[in-house]
This record gives sequence, structure tokens and C-alpha cells, in this order.
Amino acid sequence: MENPDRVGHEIVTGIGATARLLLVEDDPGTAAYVRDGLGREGMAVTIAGNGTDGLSMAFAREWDAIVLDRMLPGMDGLSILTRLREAGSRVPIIFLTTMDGVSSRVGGLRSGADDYLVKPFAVRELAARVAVLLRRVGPARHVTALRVAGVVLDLLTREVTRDGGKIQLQPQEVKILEYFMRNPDTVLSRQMLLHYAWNVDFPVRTNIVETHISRLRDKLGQDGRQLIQTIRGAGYVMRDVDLGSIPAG
Amino acid sequence: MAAFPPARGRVAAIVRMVSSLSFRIVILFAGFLMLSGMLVILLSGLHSQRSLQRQIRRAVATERAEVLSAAGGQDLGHVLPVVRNLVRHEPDFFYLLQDASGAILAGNMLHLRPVPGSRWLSWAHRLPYGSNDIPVYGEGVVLADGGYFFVGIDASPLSRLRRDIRTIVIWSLCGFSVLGIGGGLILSATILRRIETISVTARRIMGGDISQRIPYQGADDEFDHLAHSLNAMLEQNERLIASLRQVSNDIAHDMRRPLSHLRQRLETASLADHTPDGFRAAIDDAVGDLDLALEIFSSLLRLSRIEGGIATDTLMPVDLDSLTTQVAELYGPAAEDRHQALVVASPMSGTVAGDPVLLMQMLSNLVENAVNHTPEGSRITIGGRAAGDRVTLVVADNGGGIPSGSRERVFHRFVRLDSSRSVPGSGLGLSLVRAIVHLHRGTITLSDNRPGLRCTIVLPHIALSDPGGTQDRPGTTRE
Repeated sequence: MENPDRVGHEIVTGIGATARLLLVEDDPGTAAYVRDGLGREGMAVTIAGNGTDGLSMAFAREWDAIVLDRMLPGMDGLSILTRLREAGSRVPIIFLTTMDGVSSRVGGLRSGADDYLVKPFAVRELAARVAVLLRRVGPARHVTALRVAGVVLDLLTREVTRDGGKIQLQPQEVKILEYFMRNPDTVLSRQMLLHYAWNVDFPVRTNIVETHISRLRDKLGQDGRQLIQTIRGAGYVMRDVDLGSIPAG
Repeated sequence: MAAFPPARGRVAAIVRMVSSLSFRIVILFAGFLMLSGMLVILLSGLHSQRSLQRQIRRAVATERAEVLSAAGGQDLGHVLPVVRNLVRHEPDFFYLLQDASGAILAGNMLHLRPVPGSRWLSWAHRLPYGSNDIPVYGEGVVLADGGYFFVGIDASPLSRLRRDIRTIVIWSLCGFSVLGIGGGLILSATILRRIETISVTARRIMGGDISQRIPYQGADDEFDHLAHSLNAMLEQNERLIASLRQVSNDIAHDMRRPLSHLRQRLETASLADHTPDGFRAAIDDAVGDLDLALEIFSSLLRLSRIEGGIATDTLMPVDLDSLTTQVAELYGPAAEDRHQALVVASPMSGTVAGDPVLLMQMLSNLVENAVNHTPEGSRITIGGRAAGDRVTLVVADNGGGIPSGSRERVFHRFVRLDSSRSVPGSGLGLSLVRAIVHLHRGTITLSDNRPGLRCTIVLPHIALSDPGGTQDRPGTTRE
């Protein structure tokens, strides 16, 4: 049986080729952890061990995405980020920071990072964020409706239909569904959902995400659990496949 | 005083005293004093000398004029009888009358070269009687017939004055030096003793006794003021150290829980005869334990960052209506699952200058607490209103509440009440809430909701016409 993760990545990169990532990280342990973890998700990771190398390697070729540590010997991540953006590079960049502070988050995003992640992080969380970023740079879609596995979301009226039948959803549920439908076959972590739907960037103890997802599934239909699947330890994924061909369970 | 150790240390103490700043200042001061004293003495001495000289000259000039006028003519024949008579009767003056060949005709002096005008004479020209080391000042006149007439006076008061001035200068030099050095030593010893008590206290504190304080001399002087300021600083440091110690104790204690769970889990897993799936489940549980530990660390870091202030550029106007709605929507399904009613009591219309993410966390933590710590069927209300320059935000429930004695304590780090032990949590939630409220210059109080808990937050309100909220930003630090 085919590994669902592999299906995911090939759709993510769009052209079936392996996504090439530059990781600028001085800690060899973390670098290897990220390289292996993203490698399992089908991404090829090149490591730069310090800021100076990181900057020259970032300019040396086209990368699909760059994962940038904030604290680096030679040149810090924020400077690299600024230099890249000043040079007009639009490569998706994820910023890694150890500081769980609001100002470091704002500093990174303001300097042009596309996303940021606080260390220590789970590599699956990083993989999910990279996957979403890789999708974002795909062909620009001037669409008015999203279609995934028979579900249609009208972006103008915010109406949701499934196989022609109207589904009543709360505004928040529409927002979550839109996030899934914009990133089909891509794992979205709890953290990402919290950030996207409620702007929550801190740990919440209650299983809020679970309750919201399970409500959404119930409303989407009998097979909601197959439509939005739980990936243990990673998050949730909406499968854009004909549900009839996937065995239940 | 025990400040200076006696035997070997005495030399060192004197060296330290001499090289001290106060000693140097006093010596410098004594030096200036000495110089100005010398100047006064010298000036007045010179003045006295000049007036004495004038007196002597005038006396000599008068005597010479009187002798010549008494003689009635400027030749040896007229002058000789007058001088002879004078030598007999006026021993206060010195007289000499020589003829053109230099032979002495009358007088009480030895032969002189016939030089006209005023002159100082060495001892060799005086007659060898009386005291023989007195200087003489006088005037000579060459007479019409080639004779020479000289009148002189004892000038010893002048040389005595010079000698006296010299002596006074030397003695006062000695006096100034002794007084200056002595005063310098005494002053620096006094100051050094006060400084030494401060450094002794500092050494004792470094030695580990942080309860030591600098003793006051009761003089209410600069040193007592210094001691007062330093003691106040030490007081605050001791408080901070105590709270730091408490926090690190708490951290150690609280981190042991997830880590010992982790250890037990791993040990159990290594002993058990697991299938690969079983091992995977054990590893996942272990990762969960570690995540909890890491989350406690993150919360602590976040807490200290918030308590330390935050960059002003993250502050913006936050609409409380959308904030409460968002939190209610976020926790609505979870409350519903527990058959709790989560309601926004009244539409809010306030705006505060704040960090939207932090304010979201503030309200979320309170609502999460209410959802987690009240039984099924409870009612949780989010309400509030804006009045004047204040916005009041209330999260109330009708659950078990918090006993009045514990309402302050729950804000402290890691404090968890016995009644909530069964609910997972780090004990940092309310600490974070209070830190965020304080960051926004607000206040938070817990009270009895009869029954249940009522949490009231009061924040400074900004009018919507002030879009930037620039006038009313919390005092903050920049990264």
C-alpha cells in the first residue's frame, strides 16, 4: 500500500519533483534532525552551518524554500532574511527562533519571513508549514470557488455545498474548511489551525481544535472522518480523492 | 575599630591612607594654604623691611644735615670741632672725619675710602668696641678742602627683621606641613573607616550572608545617605534573590513531575515485551511528557519576557468586542461538549492599546480555566463595559469558586489548588494573565460570584478617534 505521506508530497510540489530546501542552522544535531525529518516527507535538504555560508548558498541557486535559524555564527538570520528580501528574492522563508517572545515574532515577519516556528519544534510541524508554503508559491489562482472531494466552497458567498447539497456552517468552521481546501492533501497542524483561524500563538490545553474539527466533520457528512483525516502526532489532512476508492477505517 | 587589623596591617593601613583620595585632597589643600600663608608673610615682611630702611635713611640724612649746618662751613676746620663734640656725646651714631690724605681727624670708626653718598659698611670699618657684628648704614660727604665726612647708624634692626622673617617662614612651613599631613591622615582615616565598614559589609554579603546591612553612624551625613541607598538596594536584591530561589525551586519541583513520568514510561517500555506498535505508542507517550516539560519552559520564558516589558511597536488598538467573540467561538464547542453554557453577556464596545496576541491569551486562559475547572452544566459568562477612561472585562462562572484566602496565591507561579489537581495544567496560566494585565497597565481581581468565581480586569480605555493609541502606550523596553 502506498504511503500517504508520499502521495502528499508529490501533490505538494506539483511537478512530482523533489522540493529542494536550504536549511541554515549551526547546531549539527538540529540540522540532522530537520534534514532527516524533511527527507522522510520527500524533501531534499541542504545544510549551511553558519550565516555567511547560508547567505552565499541562498544566492547560489534557486531554492523551493529556506529554513532560517535566527541565532547564527557569522551573520544572524534576521540579516540574511533582510539581505535576501532586499535583493528581491521571493523564496518562501521559515524563521526558527528560540525566543518565545512577541517582538521576535513580529521582527521576523516584518523583515519578510513567511512563517516562523519557535524552538524546540516537532519536525512534522515544520514539514507541515513548509508544505503549505510550497503550495502557496504555486500558480496564482484567481478562483471564486474551491473544490475538494465533492465539497465546494464559494469564496464570495461563503456558502458550502457537498455534491450539490447545502451545508450550514459557522463562520469559524468555514474559515477552517477554507484553510483545508486551499491546502488539500497537506497536513495542517493544530498550531497552524489555531493560528490561522483564531490568531492563537500560545499552547492551549483544552482539545479545542479536536472539538472544532469533529464538529466540522459531522456537518460535512457521514464520511467526514475520511474527508478530514487525523494524522497522529502531526495534525489533520483533507484528502482530495474519490472517497469511494479508499477503504473505510 | 575592627576595621584595621592591628599588627602587619598597620603599615598597609597607613599606605592605604596615604594613597587615599581624601589624603591627597587634604595635602593639596594644605599646600595651597601654605603657599598663600608664605605669600602673606613675605609681603608683610618686605613691607616692614622697606619702612625700616626708610626710617634708617631718614635718620642718617637728618644727622648729616644737622652736623653740617651746626659746623657752619663745608671744610675740615668747621666740621672737626662739631664731630669731636658729637663723638663724645652721641654714641648712637657713627662718625668719621678724614683729611684729604685719608688720616682720621675725629670719629669712632676706622678709615674709609672717601666715597660720597649712602653706603653699607661691613664690620671691618667699625671701631672695635661695643658689639662687633652690627652692620652700619651711613652717608659720606667729600668736603670742600678734600676732607671726607661720614655719618652712619646701627642697621642691626634691619638684619634682625630679615632673620625673623626667615625664621617665621621656615617654622610656619613646618607647621603647615605637619598640620596638613596630620589633618589629611585624620580625615582620610575617618573617611576610610566609613568606607571600610561598607566594604566589610559587602564582603560579608559576598561570603553568603545576604541579610547583612551597612550600619548607620547616626550622623545623617553623606555616608549615612549612601548607606541608606545601598541598604535599600540590598533589601530589594534580597527580595529578588528570595523570589528567584522560590521560582527555581518551583521549577525544579514542577519539572520533576513530567520528567519522572517520562522515566517511568521509558523504564516500563524497556522492560515490557512490546510489539513494534507498542513501542511506538510508548515513544509517543514519552514525547508527550517531554512536550509538557518543554511547554512549561516556554511558558516560563514567555512569562519573564512579558514581565520584563515588550516592544512598543507590537501594540495596536484592540477591539474588545471581536476579542471576546473570538474567544467565545474558540471555546464554544469545548464548553458545549461539557454541557456548559459559554455566553458573551453584552456586546463590548471598548478598545484598548495592546498586543492582540497577548490579550487573546489573557482572555483565553481565563475562559479555559473556567471551562476546565467548573463542573458539567455550569454557566460561563464573558462580559464587560467601557466607562470613561476604563474598560472592565469580566469572566464569571457559577462553579466551585476559589476560597477567599487563596485568591491572591493562585496568581503565583506553579500554584495549583488541591481542588484542581485532577485537571492537567502548569500552574502558570494565571501568572501569565496577571503579567499581561500589568503589561497593559491594568488590574485584575478575583471575587466571589455567589456562587462561583468572578474575575474582573480593568484596562485603560482608548477612544476610537485615537487610531494609533500613541499617547497611551505602556512603558516598555525594546529588544
